[in-house]
Amino acid sequence: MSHISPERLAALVDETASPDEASHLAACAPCADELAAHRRLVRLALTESTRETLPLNDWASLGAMLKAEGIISTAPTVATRLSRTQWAMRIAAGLVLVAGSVLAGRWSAGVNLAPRQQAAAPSATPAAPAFASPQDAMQVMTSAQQQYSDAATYLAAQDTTSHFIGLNVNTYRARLSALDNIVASTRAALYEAPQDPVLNQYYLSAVAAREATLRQYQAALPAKQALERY
Amino acid sequence: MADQLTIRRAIHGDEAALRALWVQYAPRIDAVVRRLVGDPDQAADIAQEVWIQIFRALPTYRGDSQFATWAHRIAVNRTLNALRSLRRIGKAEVEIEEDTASVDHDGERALLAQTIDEAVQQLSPGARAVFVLHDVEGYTHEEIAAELGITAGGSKSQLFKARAKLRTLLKHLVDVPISQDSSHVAHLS
Repeated sequence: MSHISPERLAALVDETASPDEASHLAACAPCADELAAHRRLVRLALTESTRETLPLNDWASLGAMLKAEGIISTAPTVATRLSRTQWAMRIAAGLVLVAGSVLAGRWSAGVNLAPRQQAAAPSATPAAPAFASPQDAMQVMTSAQQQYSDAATYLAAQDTTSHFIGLNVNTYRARLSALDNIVASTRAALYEAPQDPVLNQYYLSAVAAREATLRQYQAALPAKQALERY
Repeated sequence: MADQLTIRRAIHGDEAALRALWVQYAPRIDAVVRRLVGDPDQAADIAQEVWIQIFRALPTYRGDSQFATWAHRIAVNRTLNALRSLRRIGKAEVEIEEDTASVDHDGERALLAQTIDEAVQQLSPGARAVFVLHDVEGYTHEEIAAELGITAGGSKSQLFKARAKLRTLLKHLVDVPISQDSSHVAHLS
């Protein structure tokens, strides 16, 4: 028998040799070598399947085409909506913070809260704030936080009537302890449910009340004592 | 592996999620496109079409198979369609015959390729498609026949001729001589 053709040797990588071919391959070293080379070629090809190359395009050009095709959405995506919700919650929290500090200050100053609560309520409601951008909302939130801080400072400084309703350093200390527990437990819960408005409101109110109480506590200390840490 | 959340976000057109999928799978998908197409410029154009097709079809992905497998199938289909539209696959049967006839089996005048990828580029489009699909991507001859619109027998015939040519082009990579019989000439019959 003459040598086996290259195409037939290539086929014998996948197919069974006929009896004649088998006996020839057993006797002809060159044909056996050729068959072995074809087998190595197929193994080499198989390794190509896992080979990776650099992408043939860049994202800028592909992304532009995907936008043109309408595949990339120009509407707010889930992530963006989530981000905006978080921004809204932060802004609402800022407003609650201010309202909480005002209430805490007024309450500790012995002022009738009923009408003030009605007045404060609208400001605590995140009534569909219209912001041009996250930066715009951030500015509002920062401003609200500053207002809170100013209001708490002012109320602590003005709180000169607490002794008339029996408030003293022990009262403030007990309140601080309770508020610390509330802050800790609501903060822990917020890790599980960061967007829950009820938890956010309680947490921020507790933080605000704690801040105001600390100032009142410091103000209630004897003149020569200062609160170094709590 | 693509996580379901990323895929869901991508279905809704979230650019970050679409990009994440592309970053993760483009090296593999684009490699297949390039192997099938050959010409780098054409491959880049077709790869772009492939990715648009993958992302357009994303809502139909049910998670029955791995995302990579699903995207790979789309890539192969879309690439072959693109090649067909370039009227290259249609002439495959003729080209392979011409190519094979021109192969110098003793290798003396053959331009040796440095890599299998480079050698594959020297095959005709039809032979390249069959070889890449069968020996690299693991398609059966029946699957190749369905993809290319040829018979399973035709697919086999093209594959064996393609292998014979590649064996010559990659002589330095696949030759481990056992015999020193220099009288052997491969195409003796």
